[in-house]
Amino acid sequence: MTQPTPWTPDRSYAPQSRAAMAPAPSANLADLLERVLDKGIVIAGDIRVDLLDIELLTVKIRLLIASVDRAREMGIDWWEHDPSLSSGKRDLSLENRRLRERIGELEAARSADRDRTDRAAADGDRADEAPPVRRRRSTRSEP
Amino acid sequence: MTTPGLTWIYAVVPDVADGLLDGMTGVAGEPLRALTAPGLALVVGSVPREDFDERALQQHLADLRWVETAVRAHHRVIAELARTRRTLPLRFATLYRDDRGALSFLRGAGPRLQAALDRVADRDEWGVKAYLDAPVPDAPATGPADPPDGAAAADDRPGTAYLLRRRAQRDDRARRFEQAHERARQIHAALADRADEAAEHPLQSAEASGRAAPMLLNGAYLVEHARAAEFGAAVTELGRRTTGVRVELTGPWPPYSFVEIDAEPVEPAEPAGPVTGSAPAEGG
Repeated sequence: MTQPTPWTPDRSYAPQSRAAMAPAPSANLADLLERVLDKGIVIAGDIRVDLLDIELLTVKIRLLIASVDRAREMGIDWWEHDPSLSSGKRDLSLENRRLRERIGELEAARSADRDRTDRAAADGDRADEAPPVRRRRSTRSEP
Repeated sequence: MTTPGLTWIYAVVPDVADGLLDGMTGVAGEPLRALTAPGLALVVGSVPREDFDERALQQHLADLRWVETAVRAHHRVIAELARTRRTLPLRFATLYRDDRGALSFLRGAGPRLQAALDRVADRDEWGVKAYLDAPVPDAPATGPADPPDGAAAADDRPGTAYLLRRRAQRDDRARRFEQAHERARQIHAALADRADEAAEHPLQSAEASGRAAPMLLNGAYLVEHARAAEFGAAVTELGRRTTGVRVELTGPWPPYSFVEIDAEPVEPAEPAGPVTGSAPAEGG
């Protein structure tokens, strides 16, 4: 059976522009982040940046917070009306603010922590540091 | 150029012939160049220390705007390479202190990189997301859905009737969600059958997807170029045939989700500064 396909692969590798033709132009950063931050060949390099730990979490949370306003601009408020998702009529902006504050606290604590760790590491043996970043296997193939 | 930069690595390709890298720039706007080994080329750029050493990078990573710009730049390079070459994308922020470390990785991992390149040859990644269709607002329960005892209770105990109705509503919604979820699993299975490899990303929240409806599937599929149209048609057909589920295709992507080969450096780089005593020989 031959179906007309609306997507003719053109080898342009521009999913964002392709999606711009589709109804939701905003989803692409999330698509990209999950692929680029979390995928690709994992090698340690010799500069250690732990994308999988707190920082990535921070990034993801920030993304979500940034997107809530955007989603509301787009008129998406379904979860506010679904009791199972919003636990009532809780004010989203209030929660948003609480989350921002909490993230601020976590970041402050983390950077203080990091400063201490860096100083300690500068004195100690580098080999004692955390092992090279290794990506957890989160890719699952369904049989 | 003041101080020597760090080496940011983007991708592995078989070669960079025909001026492949001419005019291309990377995450710091730097021109790209290649480090080569037999049959392999590592596409790299030199990025300034002050913006990309460990501490600066950690700080930048907390800035969503910076992350987005840099991630898009990293992706742009990989996508451009993948347009004409077999391409193994490297994860964002893979950095070496200098070219020597990067080269030792390339040489040490050579055979595995070759094998991985072969696996993605003539193939693209396609993303397929499925959403619950027609989100269910708090509509009043309809008559037929009411349980019989709820109807009986309605006369003298309106409060109980209300609660029963609410519960029936909730159960109904849960049931429909469950069914849609099951159908999404079937869609994934059907698409995985048509792909060389399949993978799943975590489901995105409504905020991240920009869609009101809950996401049921966030799949990635490695598909031969020659079968891409067929795959797209299958996605369309599955979407049309599956009630209660809306399906969305993205791509083609470079094969981000299918190049996981755990290419740890053969030996960890010397834990010294920019210049180490001797280049680690990965002769093996």
